[in-house]
Amino acid sequence: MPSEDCAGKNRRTILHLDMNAFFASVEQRSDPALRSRPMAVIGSKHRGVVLSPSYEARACGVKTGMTYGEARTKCPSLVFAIADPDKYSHACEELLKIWQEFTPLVELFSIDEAFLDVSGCGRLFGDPVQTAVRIKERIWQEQGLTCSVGVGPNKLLAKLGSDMQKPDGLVLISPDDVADVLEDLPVKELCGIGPSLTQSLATMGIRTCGELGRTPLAVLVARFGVLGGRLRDMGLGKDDEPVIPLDEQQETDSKSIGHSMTLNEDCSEVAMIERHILQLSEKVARRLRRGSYHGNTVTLTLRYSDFRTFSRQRKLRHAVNHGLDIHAALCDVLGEVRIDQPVRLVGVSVSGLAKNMVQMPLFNRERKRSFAAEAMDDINDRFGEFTVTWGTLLERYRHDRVISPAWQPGGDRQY
Amino acid sequence: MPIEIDEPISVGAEFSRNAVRPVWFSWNKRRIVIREVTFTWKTREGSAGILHFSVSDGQGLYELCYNKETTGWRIAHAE
Repeated sequence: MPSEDCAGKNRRTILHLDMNAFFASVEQRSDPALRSRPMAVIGSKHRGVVLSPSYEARACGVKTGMTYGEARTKCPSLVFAIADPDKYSHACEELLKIWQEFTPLVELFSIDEAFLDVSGCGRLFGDPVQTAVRIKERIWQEQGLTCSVGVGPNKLLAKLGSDMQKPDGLVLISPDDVADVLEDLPVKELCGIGPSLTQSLATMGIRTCGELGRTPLAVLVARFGVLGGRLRDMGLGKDDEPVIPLDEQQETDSKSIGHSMTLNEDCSEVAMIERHILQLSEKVARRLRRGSYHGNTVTLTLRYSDFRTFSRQRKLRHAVNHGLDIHAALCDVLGEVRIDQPVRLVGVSVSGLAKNMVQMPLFNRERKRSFAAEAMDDINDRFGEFTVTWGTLLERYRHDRVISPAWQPGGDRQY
Repeated sequence: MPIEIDEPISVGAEFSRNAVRPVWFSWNKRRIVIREVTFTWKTREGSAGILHFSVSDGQGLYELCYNKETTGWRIAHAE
């Protein structure tokens, strides 16, 4: 419940916690040899893109997204660690336990960021800044990690606050300070305003949040439609979005289910790409069945070696949740694509989802296939993914060091 | 960079309340005494829970895995 201030107005107090160089900090904690030295977490041995540089590496100019070579040029003594998502998932779960001791209203924004609604927690933990300090201390004592915290009357301002002081920062934006903080702040600093929107606003002469907040609503709506109202609110520091706790996030039905994988080596061979599609189709189908979903639209995404990316979609006559159906439809789609460069990423997704749309198979062949899929699911649930699979996938691509799109604390989503 | 190994090993460990803590392990005909458990995390293999321990003997770093279902230990990585 929102707390009431002395004027009787309902006021929310939101904290945004942003773990500092999360992956790198976990690796430094895990390996004593990496502590206090410039190091960076990279995606894989084969595709060396920096995912998370330590603060020591950042001081040498190493940034997220740099290639292995670029990072080494900036910092010749840089040490690399290959990303281990299981460690980061576990660390996030441990953090979540700490946060939930302060409030049940914890929304995970990503694996290393969360919003906490601490309205009404004052009697238990002190004022919002004291609460933030206590949380930071607990995280440091129990996990050996630092974080930046923003304290504000809503999610927008709390997020802004945590971005203002890194690492290990604590910034309070009180309701009385909002206008001053936002007046000269570039619009791109607000969460939700990206480069394209920043450019569009700049063409209208709007560069700061102060200017955005003073722009007549009608002007913004004429240019951006319904988003115009939201933009004006953002310029004024207004945001009514609630903190959605984890259990409510999980109840939201999915709109699509997909997986993608970046290949260790670029691939031009159609048969090989079809095998990757089968592997991804199986993973997608498993999640569809776990969530009791069927989907009637399949999408294939390919990224070429020059990073050009495109998707092709196909609407099916019947909704499906079997890997072979998804694979067959996408192989048709692939057959219509002229692959003019080696492929570095393959993605498969299914949308147009309907839940609990169960129709008993009428024909024996269909029934057998459905039972076989159920039996395979049971075995793979018991002994691990791909314990039983198609012969084609015995040579499957093994790249498990990625964070599954189904990831959530306590294990992957059931779908 | 760690080297992937994945071999079964013998481990001496303390089991207390809900916690498991490896104390030594035998690998490559050597008995390695663990000085520090630097990090622990959990994963699943099917229905089996796996506890991972990043451990140091003061010189090298190793990853040991304990399968809660089979009660077997494996060494996953060494560097």
